[in-house]
Amino acid sequence: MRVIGWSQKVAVIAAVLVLLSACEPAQLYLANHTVVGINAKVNPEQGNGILVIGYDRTFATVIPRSVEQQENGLVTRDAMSALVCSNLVVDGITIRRYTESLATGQAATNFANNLGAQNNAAAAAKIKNFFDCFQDQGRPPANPAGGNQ
Amino acid sequence: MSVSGCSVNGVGFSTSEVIRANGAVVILTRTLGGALRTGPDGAGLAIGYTKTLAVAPDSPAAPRPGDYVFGVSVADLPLAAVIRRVVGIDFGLNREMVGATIGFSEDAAFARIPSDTSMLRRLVLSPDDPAGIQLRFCQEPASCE
Repeated sequence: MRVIGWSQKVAVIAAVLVLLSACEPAQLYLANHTVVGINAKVNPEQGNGILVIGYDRTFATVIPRSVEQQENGLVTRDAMSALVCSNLVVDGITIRRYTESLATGQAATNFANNLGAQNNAAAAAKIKNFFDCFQDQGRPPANPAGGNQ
Repeated sequence: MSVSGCSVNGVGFSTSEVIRANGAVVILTRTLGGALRTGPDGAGLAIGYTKTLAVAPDSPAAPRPGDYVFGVSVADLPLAAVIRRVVGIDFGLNREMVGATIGFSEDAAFARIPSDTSMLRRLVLSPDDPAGIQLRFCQEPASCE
C-alpha cells in the first residue's frame, strides 16, 4: 500500500477546493448565517473564505449570473430575473421573524413590467400589495433584480 | 426529549415534531450527539445539540402531524426554508460552505430556487411560532394575498 505524504494530501485538498470554487451558482439563494465562537469556512459558490472569532452575522442573496434562455429561437445567457422583498427580524442572536415576497424568471419580468405600467393601475396596486417594499416607492426598478429590505 | 447518539438526515437518535401550518408542514427536529447531513445543499456533520426547523409545502408526500421518537427524514421533501441551530461543533462540506464552526451557529436557507424556475411565492417564517408559519405558491399576486 502506498502512503501519500502530508504535502500531497494538502495538494489534493487544495485541488478539491479550487474545483468547488469554480462552480457557478445555479440557484437563487437567500440565506442568513450567525456564529458565536470560531468559524473557518470557504464558500465555493461565492469563491471567498472567512475566519471569524467571536460574533458574526451575514445575510446574503446570491443570484445566478448565467441562465440559459430561448429568445427568437436563439439560446442566450443572462442573469436570473428575480423580484424579492424580504424582511428579517433578529432578537439577540436568533431569528424571530422572516417575511418574503418573491418572484423569479418570467413571472418576475412580468410583474416588474406591470409595476411600471401606467395603463393598468389596478394590476400595479395588487403587485405593490404583494411586494410590500414597493408600496412607499414612486417608481419601480427598471429591471428586476434581487434585493433585501 | 432527545437521546444522545447519532442521526442521519434527522433519523436515528432524534425526536421530531411535525406541525401543520398555513400552506406548509413544519418539521422540528432535535438531536443530541452526532447529526450527519448528506444532502448536497447542506451536507455536513454536527456534534452537540442540533435543532432544525424545516418548512415544506403542504402535500400528500409530507409527513403527518405528530411526534416522531426517532425523527423524520426531510431528505426527499422539497423544502421551502430551513433553519438549523447547532451548539457544539459543526462541519460543513457542501456547495455553500466548506469549513467548521465551534460554538453556536444558526444557518438559515430561506430560498433555494433553480435558476430556470418561474414562480411566485410568499413566506412568513416565525421560528418561535411554527403553527403561524405561512407559505403560498401562486401564479398571480391576488391569489397570494
